[in-house]
Amino acid sequence: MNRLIKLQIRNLLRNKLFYVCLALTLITPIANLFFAKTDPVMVSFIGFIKGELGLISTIFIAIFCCYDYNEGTTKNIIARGYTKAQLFFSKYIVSLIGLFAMYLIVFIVTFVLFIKNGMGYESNMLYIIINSMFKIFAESAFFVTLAFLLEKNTSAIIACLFVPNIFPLLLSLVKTKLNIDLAKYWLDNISDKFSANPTLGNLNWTILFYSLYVIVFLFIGTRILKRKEIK
Amino acid sequence: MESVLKTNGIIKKYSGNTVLNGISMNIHKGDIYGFIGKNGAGKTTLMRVVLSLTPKNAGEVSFFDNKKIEEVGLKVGSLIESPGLYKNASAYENLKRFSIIYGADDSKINEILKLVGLSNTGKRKAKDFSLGMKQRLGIAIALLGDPEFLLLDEPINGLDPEGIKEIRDVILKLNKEKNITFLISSHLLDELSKIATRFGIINNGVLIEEIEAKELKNKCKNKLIIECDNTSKAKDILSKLVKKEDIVINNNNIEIHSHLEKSADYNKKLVDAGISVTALYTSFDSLEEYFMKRIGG
Repeated sequence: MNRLIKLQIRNLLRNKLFYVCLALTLITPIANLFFAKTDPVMVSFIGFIKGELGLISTIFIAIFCCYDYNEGTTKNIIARGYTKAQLFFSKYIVSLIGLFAMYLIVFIVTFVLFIKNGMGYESNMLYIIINSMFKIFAESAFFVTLAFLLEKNTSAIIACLFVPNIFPLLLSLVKTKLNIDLAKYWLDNISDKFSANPTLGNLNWTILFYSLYVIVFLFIGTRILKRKEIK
Repeated sequence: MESVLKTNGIIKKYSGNTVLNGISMNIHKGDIYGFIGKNGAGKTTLMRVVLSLTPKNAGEVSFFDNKKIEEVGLKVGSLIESPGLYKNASAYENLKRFSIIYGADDSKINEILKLVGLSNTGKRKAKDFSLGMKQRLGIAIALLGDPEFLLLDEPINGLDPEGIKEIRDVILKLNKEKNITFLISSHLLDELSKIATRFGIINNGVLIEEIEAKELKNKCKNKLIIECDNTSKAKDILSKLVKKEDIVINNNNIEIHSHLEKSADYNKKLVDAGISVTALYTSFDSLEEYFMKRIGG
């Protein structure tokens, strides 16, 4: 498993698009700092962009990690005695490593820039970071599962961008028809609820739900993968 | 004899269609096993099932006397269908990446690149390689980690005659010097017949025969041809030694289809009768002809 993870890390680090994602994610805190004292409208716009870029980075890093499916190199790994589950988990782990490395760089840059410019940070910063971490666990599990099962980059990108928007719609429909509010348990809504009130109680609640999502997504992924042919 | 691969009753179905029907195959250590069958016979599917790339419906696969692929994976190299390459990476980088999981150092990588004739490709990306070069890189990847058993599916596809010879020489060298066992499928039957020590013939998902190369050669030895100056007189003389229906005159030559081992006797009788024998030789079916006969083609 360790060797598989090393291979996936090398694959990720050799992908130029990974650095493009990193550069794009770094732009937002710098822009935020630039407009922080002058243009509050711009700051809220940057906040929106930051969220979207974060999501896009999560999607693309998942796809970069599953990219070798396109190249047919997966069979070289499975044919040497590694199981599909090992390969799948190694990709998930490396997508998390990639994302955390990226966010760590962004966090350090943001922190240094803000402190240097005499700007404060929120008192419940630790809760916010932990919430973000678990959100990444869940989202990444979802996107890696989709990317690995779809096999093609284009269809994976489309699915990763649209499927997360289809679920809330379906859940709203359930609410309208059956009067059961399941939408509040969807990934984004869990995060929104926490952001509105970042307390320890809400953090525990989000950790529980994000962890459940991770288990469900990874379970679905491994189950489907078991019956899948390796190309 | 130590078994390197043993399959027992492998069945594989695709939406109700049986593509492998109870395949039981046994490959011994040191074999170069030529796996032959027409398109769609099930060669690639069997190799994929053996390597766990395709789930099977029934049957068992074991390597090196009852071990599973998960236990011996690093001892088994393969090239199945098109080579799986990192297309944006050089030949060296491809081997470097796979060496992380197969285990091989830089000197080994360079040695393998040299062996397959790709040591001078530098930073050129795999996507810019010719079909033959990609094929050779696929073989190079299969050779990483010092495997004891190599499964090569159509390894000489897309290679020019020189490339075919090179790969043939590499296979023979590895078999002889490192005692690597091979399972090779190929459509180029005559090419396969130059290296294989055993053959397996598959037709419509059924393994119809496993045969040693020597035995096959004997089976293919099917007629004795005698060229002489008087065929009708020669036929009369030979009729006393061989059944009449086993003697045929073809293109002014005599063909004998039984008791080929008595060729010296036939020659003596003809010469004693004053017939001038200009040539006497055994004719062989090619592997292709034998294969066509076995599958009823």
